[in-house]
Amino acid sequence: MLLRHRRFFAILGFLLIATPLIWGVVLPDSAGLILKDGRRPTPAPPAPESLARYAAFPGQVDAYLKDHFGLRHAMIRTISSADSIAAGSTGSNPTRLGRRRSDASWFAGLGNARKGSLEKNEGRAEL
Amino acid sequence: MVFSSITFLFYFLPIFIACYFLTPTVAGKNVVTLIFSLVFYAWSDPRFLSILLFAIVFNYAAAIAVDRRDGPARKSALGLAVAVNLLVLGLFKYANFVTGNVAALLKPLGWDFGQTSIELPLGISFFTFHCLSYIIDVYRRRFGANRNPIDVALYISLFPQLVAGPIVRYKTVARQLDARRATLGRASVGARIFIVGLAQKVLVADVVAPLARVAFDQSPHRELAEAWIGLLAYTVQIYFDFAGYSNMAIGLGIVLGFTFPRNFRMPYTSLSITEFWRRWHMSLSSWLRDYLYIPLGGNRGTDLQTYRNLVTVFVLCGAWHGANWTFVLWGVWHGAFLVLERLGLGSLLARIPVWLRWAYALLAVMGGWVLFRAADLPTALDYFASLLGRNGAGDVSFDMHDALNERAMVMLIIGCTLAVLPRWLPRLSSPVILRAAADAGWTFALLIFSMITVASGAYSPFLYFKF
Repeated sequence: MLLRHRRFFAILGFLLIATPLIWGVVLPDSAGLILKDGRRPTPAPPAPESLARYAAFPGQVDAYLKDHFGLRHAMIRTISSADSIAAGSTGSNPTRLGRRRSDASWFAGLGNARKGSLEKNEGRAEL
Repeated sequence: MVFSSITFLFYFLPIFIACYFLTPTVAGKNVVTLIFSLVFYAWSDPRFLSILLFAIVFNYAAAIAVDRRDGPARKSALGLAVAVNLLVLGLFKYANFVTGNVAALLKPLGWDFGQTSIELPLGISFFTFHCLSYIIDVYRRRFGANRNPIDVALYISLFPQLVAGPIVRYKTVARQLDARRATLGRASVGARIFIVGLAQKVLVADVVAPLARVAFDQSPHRELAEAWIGLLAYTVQIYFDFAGYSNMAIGLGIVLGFTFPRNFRMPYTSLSITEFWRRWHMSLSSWLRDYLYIPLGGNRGTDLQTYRNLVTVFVLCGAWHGANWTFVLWGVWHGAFLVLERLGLGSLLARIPVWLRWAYALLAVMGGWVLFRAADLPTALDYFASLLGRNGAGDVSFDMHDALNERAMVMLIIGCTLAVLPRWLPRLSSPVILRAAADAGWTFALLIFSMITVASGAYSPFLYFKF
């Protein structure tokens, strides 16, 4: 049965890719969720009236769309959580960064190198 | 617009697919695709749309002019058409390079030679090669000039392959422009290939990119370990970036009913540089073979002439990638290895163990990537010194530690594994039903992860866009 229905894969894929567009129209994220990022959501660009504005228009639309696709907040939160789980820490960013470096150095077999580079960064070794 | 951007993935693509499949006739689908292709191209910089439109109009007319003539007049028409195409490419891609070098040469003599500052239009190298192959094949009477301007415009500007290939010959898609089948089964196959390409770009290439960026751009006189980590990361990045884009283009082509040529076939499993070029950017290498190497004489002359032809083709191949001496040297590097393999290195390689041949080919390719990636020649030379341990042995910079996070390391390992292992991995003999389930599950998981990663907002331009 699965083999016979493999041809419907394209429809499922299309629906998945279209979800942010449809969701953004039907149930857009509230402006408050972007305000949580510490900034205002990018406003919709005005229709271009001159040649110079035409050149800038795609960039303005990109910035607007980046703030207004559906499930934006949920997707960004998911990647953030996934990164936290991968880093093996739920602590603050600096805590995670420190731990990450330690793991990275072990992984790359660069334990001594790490010590040297941290010393350099702290100004304890000559650059 | 890049394939891995929010604008393309969440807006452009679903709206285009809906419009495309809601249009009942092939002629209508062609008009829809052409409009979307022009919007796709104009999105990067609307000013450059005029160059693409000029290429379409000029080559449409030039092909008809060539087709109508015979004898010397036919050859003259071809010469003029090729010259105009190369002039446009030269003006936008090489004018800054040429004037910059002339200015540097004349400066010691006290002459202040002005330097041009012309912006590079997106994908000009690719669509110029599309135009050239169309005109030359009309001249060679492989097919007649297409009198339908929509067809020609669509061939040159078809958005999946417009800005970073694969380089599609007109002959490959000529019949599909007027009659193609877009079935649900084909669309599903295309969708899978597209998703794999998206994952290659977003989940692997973009994640390891900071390692290469730190080693090449942010760490002057990096030491041995950092240099090798950076080079390994760039080796993975450029393959997954470019192969990812090609797979997305091929997948989208199949969804629309086109058949684009395969562009990569496990290039890092090659056992020689000759084999590497049969597996890397195959649409470019076959283009250069058919339109440059063979017209130059190929390997029909003396050995010396063959070597000259090889080096010429690869110097031009390097220059095609970018107007910089590093790219020219990258071409010379590959040309030199090809000549060496013909001179006897190839037969010597045939007598050593497979793993040694593989190591030789991979190291030669990676050495070439140093030239390809370095911003200028002094940086490339310094990088080679770092790779040999001349700048120190084991320390790595703070930036490299920061870039070496879990995700980057895991993806570097996955990237290395996927780039080489499948060639030597025995095929699993699991039941078809299990393979189908695993295939569907994995592909959907890749799509969801890729979408979430794209949504996280990282800006990720494709490497091959600048070529």
